[in-house]
Amino acid sequence: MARKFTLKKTAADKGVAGVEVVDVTGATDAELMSISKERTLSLNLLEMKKIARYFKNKKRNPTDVELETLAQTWSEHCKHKVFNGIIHYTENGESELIDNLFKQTIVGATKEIRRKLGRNDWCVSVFSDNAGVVEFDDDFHFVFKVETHNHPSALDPYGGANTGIGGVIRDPLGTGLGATPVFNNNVFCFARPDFPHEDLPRGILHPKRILKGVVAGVRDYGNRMGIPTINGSLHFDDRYLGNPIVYCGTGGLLPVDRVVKRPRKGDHIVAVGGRTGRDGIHGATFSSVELDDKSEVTSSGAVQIGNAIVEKKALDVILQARELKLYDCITDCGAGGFSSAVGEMGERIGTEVNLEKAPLKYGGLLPWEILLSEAQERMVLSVPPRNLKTFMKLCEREDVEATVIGRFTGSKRFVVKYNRKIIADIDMSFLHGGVPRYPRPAVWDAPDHPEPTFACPKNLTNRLIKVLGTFNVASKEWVVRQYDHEVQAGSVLKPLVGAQDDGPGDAAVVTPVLGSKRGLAVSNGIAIRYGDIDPYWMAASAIDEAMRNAVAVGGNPARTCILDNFVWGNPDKPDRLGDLVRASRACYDIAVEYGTPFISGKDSFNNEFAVDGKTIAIPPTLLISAAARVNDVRKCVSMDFKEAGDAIFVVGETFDELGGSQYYQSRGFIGNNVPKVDPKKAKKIFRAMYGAITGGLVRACHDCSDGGLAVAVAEMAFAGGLGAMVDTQKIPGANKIDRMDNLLFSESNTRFVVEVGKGKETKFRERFKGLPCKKVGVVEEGDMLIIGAPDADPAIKASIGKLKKAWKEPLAL
Amino acid sequence: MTTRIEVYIKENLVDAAGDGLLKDIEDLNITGAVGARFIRVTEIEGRIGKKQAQRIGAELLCDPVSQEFVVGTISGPLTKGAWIIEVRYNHGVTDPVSESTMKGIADLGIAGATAAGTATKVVLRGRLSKADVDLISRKLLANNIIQSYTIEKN
Amino acid sequence: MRIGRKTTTGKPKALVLRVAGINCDRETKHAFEIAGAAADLVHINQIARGEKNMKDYHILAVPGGFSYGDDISAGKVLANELSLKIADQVDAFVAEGKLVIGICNGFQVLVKAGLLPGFDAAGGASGTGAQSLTVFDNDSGKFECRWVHLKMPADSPCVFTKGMTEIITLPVAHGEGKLIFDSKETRRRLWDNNQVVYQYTDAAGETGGYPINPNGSEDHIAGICNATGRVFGLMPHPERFVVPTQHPRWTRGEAGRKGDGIAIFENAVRFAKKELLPTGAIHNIHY
Repeated sequence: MARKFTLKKTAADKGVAGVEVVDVTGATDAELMSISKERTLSLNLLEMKKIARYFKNKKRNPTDVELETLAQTWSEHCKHKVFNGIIHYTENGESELIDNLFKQTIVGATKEIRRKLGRNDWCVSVFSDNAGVVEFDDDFHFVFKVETHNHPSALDPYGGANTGIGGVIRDPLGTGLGATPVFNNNVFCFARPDFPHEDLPRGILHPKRILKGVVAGVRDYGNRMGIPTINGSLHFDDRYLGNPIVYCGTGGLLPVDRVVKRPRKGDHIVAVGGRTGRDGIHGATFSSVELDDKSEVTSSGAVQIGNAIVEKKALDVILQARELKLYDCITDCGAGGFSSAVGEMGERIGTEVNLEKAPLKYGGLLPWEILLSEAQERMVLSVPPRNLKTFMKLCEREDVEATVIGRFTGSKRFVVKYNRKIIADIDMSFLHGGVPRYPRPAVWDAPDHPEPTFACPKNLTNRLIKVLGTFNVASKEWVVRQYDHEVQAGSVLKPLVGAQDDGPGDAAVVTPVLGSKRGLAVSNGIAIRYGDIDPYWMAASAIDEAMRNAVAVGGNPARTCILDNFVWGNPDKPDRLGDLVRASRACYDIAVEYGTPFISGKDSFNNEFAVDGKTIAIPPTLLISAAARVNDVRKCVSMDFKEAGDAIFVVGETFDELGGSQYYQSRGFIGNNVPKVDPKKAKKIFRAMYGAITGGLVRACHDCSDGGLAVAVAEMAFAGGLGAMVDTQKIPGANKIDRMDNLLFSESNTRFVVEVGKGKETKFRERFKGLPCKKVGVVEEGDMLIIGAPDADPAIKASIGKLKKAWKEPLAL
Repeated sequence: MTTRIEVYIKENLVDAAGDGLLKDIEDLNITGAVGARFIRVTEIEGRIGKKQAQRIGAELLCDPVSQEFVVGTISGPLTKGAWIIEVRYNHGVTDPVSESTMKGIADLGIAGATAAGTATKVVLRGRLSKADVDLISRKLLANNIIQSYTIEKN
Repeated sequence: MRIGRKTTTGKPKALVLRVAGINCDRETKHAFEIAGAAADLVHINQIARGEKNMKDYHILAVPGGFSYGDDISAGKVLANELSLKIADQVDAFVAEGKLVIGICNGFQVLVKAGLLPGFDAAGGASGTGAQSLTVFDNDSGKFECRWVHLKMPADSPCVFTKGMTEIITLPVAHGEGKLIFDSKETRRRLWDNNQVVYQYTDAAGETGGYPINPNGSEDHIAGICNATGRVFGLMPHPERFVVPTQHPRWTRGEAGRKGDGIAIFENAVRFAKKELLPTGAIHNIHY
């Protein structure tokens, strides 16, 4: 298909070594598709035809540089074609047409919330820049972004996670005129670390090696960058065997007068930081490919190792240059490399890149490879000519490589030259607006799982021990300790809290401005197993969990922003896409009611692994990350019991909702009674809890999630080194639940266990007037946890030492 | 010309990375490994004299209290009778240590180095078959996407 | 009271050193500022090129981080820069009796540059010698971030910890923090001179195994000073505990009124004001 420069009147026909002209104008449909496949363009026929038509009108064929640029810019990774596309949706037999699910649900929720807030709107920039921006204090806005780096981490866990964290740090840095990174968070989903070696399919790394590699990758990069890793979680499900999920996030602070970015005509395009190599070619298109047992051979170009010090140096000079106002615009070099970074910056103005100027790690790169390389640690800045000398001097002083690679032109065209010869020339409007939309079918039918048949065990102590020891519930201390969560000296509530510094905190709190009392509570929510029953309630539960966690430490629910990260299977399979519709709709419904705007997010599809003719698809996975403002961090509370004699309250109602619970899973069932959310009531509970905490009425607060009430109370007890006595009949909702195991292990949403000090009980109750809130027990001296009905033998009776041991051991790797 | 410098932890000190490897080997259901120690290999390209190589070893690469080094390849009791696995990055993969090594050499006032790269050498002892060592290399030490390895019995 | 511009002339000046990979510079500067110093972040190249002069400062801080990636041997590349690139200025600085603190990676740097243990340091002599101890891989084999208790074993000459006889708590965050000696002789001299400033202990002041001693350090040593007590290096991070809410158990009422770490910076500032500022400078404050 490809031939060397035979076409007349093309921009490239003067002949540049290493540049091919690709015949698309004369190609058949089959030929178009084989071009797409051979070059890993990941473009479908409709898209290839649109490109062919564009170049037919131009009376020439594209160069490989142009074709690659279009493929990257139009990639799922960059354009979110599935989410923004047209969907024919059928739910339980009823059909409808959805035009742009993303705009309707995620963006729609934020729009509606901002409309309601009116003049009090605290969103600054959402869904437009590299990360979302909201107000923080008089001097700074808060910036937040969470990314996924799944495919590279599957192939090389260390390098994949390493570059995942390195990449997401560059997002806030490339937002506005550059935000200072103030924390990292990360959430991982793996198969069980004790997965039998002999059952491991070909071409897959063992989950324990992936876990260790990913943790080491995040550790080595995050710690070197001097950014505290303050929040995260780990989840285990064997469907992640071929496709582990690695979510990496970074929060930052942006000076309030550095939000607007716009390159001006005549500005220099300056590449700062790392050099360009062949590494990471096709990362954006690769992320849209299903993995199989040959992926490790064919996709090796997409895998890279990061170099944190190069990024740290670049960060240091960029933040100094920001203060000196030396540049007009900045963005990161991520997916698509220079082609995307420069293409996006110059979307409204036009660019001319002189590709031969780009500093290379080694020789031998083809022009399109230079343009498309996703080599790490690179930022692109637009520097006005008058500032260039000062900027270059600053970089030189700190041993940071900076190179002028082109100019912003005003031509509204994307022009690339190589040794003064044009090798790409595309209208910006086509590059960014040309991608065609086409309909996909989606279907969702409510599944029907078998209900459990076992009787309620008399003694639930052993059941509690078992649930505490499941990988999902067990302590993650082995991971957390390897991350520096103290650097930058803003730590207020650490990931591990309590008398021995090892209890599971609900959310981390930091004061990102040195010397200030204003903080951020950072948390996350994820409810993987509920998606097997209904992705709607999975998404609702994830938002509720993220909120619960933030509120439990004293975060303001009315000033909480959230981020969505959808990691899904193949969207061309209607059931997978149906799950997406259900989940997205919950995002709208719950977020609007809670008043928690989505400010940024990401979606990753095709997380499926093919081996021996079988496909393993991951469960649909939605991570909700939340950041809540804390006006005065001295009001924050941790989850560990503080003092014997204090009252224990349960806030929020328990229902018979064990579908997808840890308890059912530990007994081999899924069930159908998935936890639901009553958003109107939940919002009132969050507000009341915030008032109670900031009013000084709460000594400890912990949300109920995996493992339900029993796990929550046990964790509070062993984290505080104190015993507790709980009367199960007092638990709100207990009268409607006839089984003790269901009462104690149900995972109903919007519930908290709260320790209230002496003399504060009446005031605490008043805060929750009309809401489910009851005193259920007392914190006790000694080390016994006793839970049960007063007239019977306790359902649970165990020493906190024994419970803690069961919880701490499984993941001490 | 390539100058090779190998740095290793003094034998009386714990090699924590080696101990970690032994634990991981047990996870693979391979019994019989009794000792593992890591050696860091630095390869410098360019015109480096013998004295200069000694200085680079002594003043940059090796910590005099906890480590020792040789210019060239270690021989003698440290490696004798053991399996030697050497893992290195494939061409084109970023080696993050390379840049700081080059800077460190320049700081010593030594010109002539044109490139630097690193490799890891593992000295493995115990009743292990070649197949065991190969499995250990593949599963725990090298990722064939970015690295290659060689195995030798000393 | 009018605080005029001249106030700052009465403050000791701290130079907080920056190089590629140093990442605790901002909080170290902040700690010095709230302790009453004027602090500047200075890149080592600015000193090497003569844009900044160490003479203008009273305190040098080498903060924590991963200088130059720490991939070769923690702190080694920066240690070489101190003893090669800006050796004269560093030597004069220490010989004049000015103050130096190295925290975490900065401690590793001071040890590898031979500024610690500095047995022969005295008025007019920096005491810089060959490296005689090192900070090595943690016994646990991995980077660890946790809070530790520290106790001063005997009255050390260290000016940074003067009067801090109570047990304090600070966070550590490092993968290489195990202090080891090249010889029994070095170890003996360090103890004989009271140059061991802090040992890892439990809350009651007793030494013990992991995790009380988080890295396996010999004699549980967490920090040491030179013979004059004016050069101080420690693995834990005092700049990370300057307000009560940084304490891991402040919600349990264990934090006290101010952070344990701030006293180290206050001691340095107090000492510098008294001993290092030109007489009279301190009286320039306008009331």
